[in-house]
Amino acid sequence: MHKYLVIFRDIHKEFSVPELLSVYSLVIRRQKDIVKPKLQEDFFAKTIRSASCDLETDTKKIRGVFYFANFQSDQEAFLVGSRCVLVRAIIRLWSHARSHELCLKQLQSLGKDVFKELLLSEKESFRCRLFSYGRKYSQSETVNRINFYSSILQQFPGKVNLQNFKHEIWIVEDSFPKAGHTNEPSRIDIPNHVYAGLLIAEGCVKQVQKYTLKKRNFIGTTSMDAELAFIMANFALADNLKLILDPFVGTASILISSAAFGAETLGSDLSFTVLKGKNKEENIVSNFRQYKLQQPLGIVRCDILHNPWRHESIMSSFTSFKCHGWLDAIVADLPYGVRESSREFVGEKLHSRFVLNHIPKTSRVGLDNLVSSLFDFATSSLVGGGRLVFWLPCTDEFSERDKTEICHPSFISIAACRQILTCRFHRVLFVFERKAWEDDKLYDSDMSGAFLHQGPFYKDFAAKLFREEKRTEDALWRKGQWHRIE
Amino acid sequence: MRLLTYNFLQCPKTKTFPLILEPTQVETIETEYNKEFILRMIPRLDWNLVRQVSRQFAFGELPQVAPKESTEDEETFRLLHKMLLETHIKEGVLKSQDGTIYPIKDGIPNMLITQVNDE
Repeated sequence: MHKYLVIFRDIHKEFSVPELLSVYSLVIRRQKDIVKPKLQEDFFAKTIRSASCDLETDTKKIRGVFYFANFQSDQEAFLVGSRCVLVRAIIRLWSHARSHELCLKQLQSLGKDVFKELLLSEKESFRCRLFSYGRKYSQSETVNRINFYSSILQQFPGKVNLQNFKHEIWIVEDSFPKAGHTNEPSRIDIPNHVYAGLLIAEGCVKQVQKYTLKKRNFIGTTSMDAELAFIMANFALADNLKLILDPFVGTASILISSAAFGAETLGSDLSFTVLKGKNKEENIVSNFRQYKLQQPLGIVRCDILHNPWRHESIMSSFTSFKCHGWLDAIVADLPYGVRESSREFVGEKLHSRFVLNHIPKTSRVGLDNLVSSLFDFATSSLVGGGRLVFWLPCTDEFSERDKTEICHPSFISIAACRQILTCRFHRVLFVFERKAWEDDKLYDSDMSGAFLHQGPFYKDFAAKLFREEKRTEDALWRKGQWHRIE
Repeated sequence: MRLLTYNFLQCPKTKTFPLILEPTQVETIETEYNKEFILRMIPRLDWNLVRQVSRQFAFGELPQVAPKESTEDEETFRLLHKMLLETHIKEGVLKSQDGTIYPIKDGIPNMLITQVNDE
């Protein structure tokens, strides 16, 4: 066990620690020999703490980008760090001090075994990099700063190589102004913290950039930003051999990120226009082809409110064997009525001649119906430990308390992270994990809708956002009313 | 629609499983053989339906009990891969036991309930 410094990227700060935790549990669960992965995950979660405590108590609540965490080994830190989108780097910490002078002193007092990789042989080439946060260094200043540490660097027998290096030593300086963005001139020459260590892993943002929406073949109005889609895939624990479904697939932007991590994908949507695509070269399949990814296993047109996916209760009545779920994760970006309206289809009576070519009508439906249907579906199809990841919209009145409003007896809440889109329009990414199947069956499945809050924060969202009475959802049909045509 | 997906579908109206598959156009698209994925999927499939599909599409008879270990007959896994992952239904219909029809067009099944009224 060793102490590591995790440097996060500057964006989506609310997502960074939950993403790290999710990826950690993914890495832990890959190893079959670990008996109690949950315990180890909890233990790891406890070791994470912000490096700059003084920032957290600030009224403005600036979350720093520097965090400490304890990994079992360099290998583990590498596996976790290299899969996180929001991690910039993970460094094995050698020293941590308030100034460069103290940092150097600490380094000099360390035992030889700390630098053992670098002292091995002359072949271990290395380079040193200065990473400054909140301050800009010119070329000559950088060289001066690195030379300041020369007494340490010179003891390594390997050659310095700036292009092809085996090890990279990072000197990290945190000079971010303490009080946030104020007009007071801050003393940039005095850093808050200085860290030194060996680079173990860099985040996967470079790989993600390949998937940018700007260069994608087929996109729509609601295609998910590539980075966020990869963060969602990390929350969904996407990995080789896993089966992931997106019930609102649209242009498959979330499935592409899951497939990039090796997962097998399934998609369904109510809108036929997106499933069909524009033409032969611009459709969902062509997107997967563009990145040379595994094609989705299936695309189905269906309505989540009356979904055609297998329910386990049905399975058990037919055969003697029982399987507990068949999906590893569900990822979804719900159509919440701003760009795409929440819809269900309307049953119609037709002459049998027309059935084959008929495109059924759809009508608007309340978002809360979609959420409760999504939970019902997830309860009956996810395996134990499977993840449910979805977005919900909210206004700026959304509080920490609202995060607990969505709960379900078969699910554990893993994370709820907010992304601020405009000053009034925010959205929250909810992550839930299916409990083991043995633990439920205590409640009636028809009751599941009742566990969701009656007047949730996302109700009438479009009406609140646009301040338009006519967009309220009360005028819409409630779930189950489609039966009236029968 | 691959035959693997067919194993996950039920009738959204009557909630019955399985549906009856009546293909009119079938296509075989080769994909990479991945034994581990098949092994992982087998416990999640309804084995009776898999056997029935194997008979329907003339892939031959499958063992009574689903294979569980990777050491078991390689032939079976190859067959399952070919059947579940490489066989695509391009056109056809899915029929529920009460006669509701779900058409498959361009490999995309339309699982929306349309009621038939022939009067």
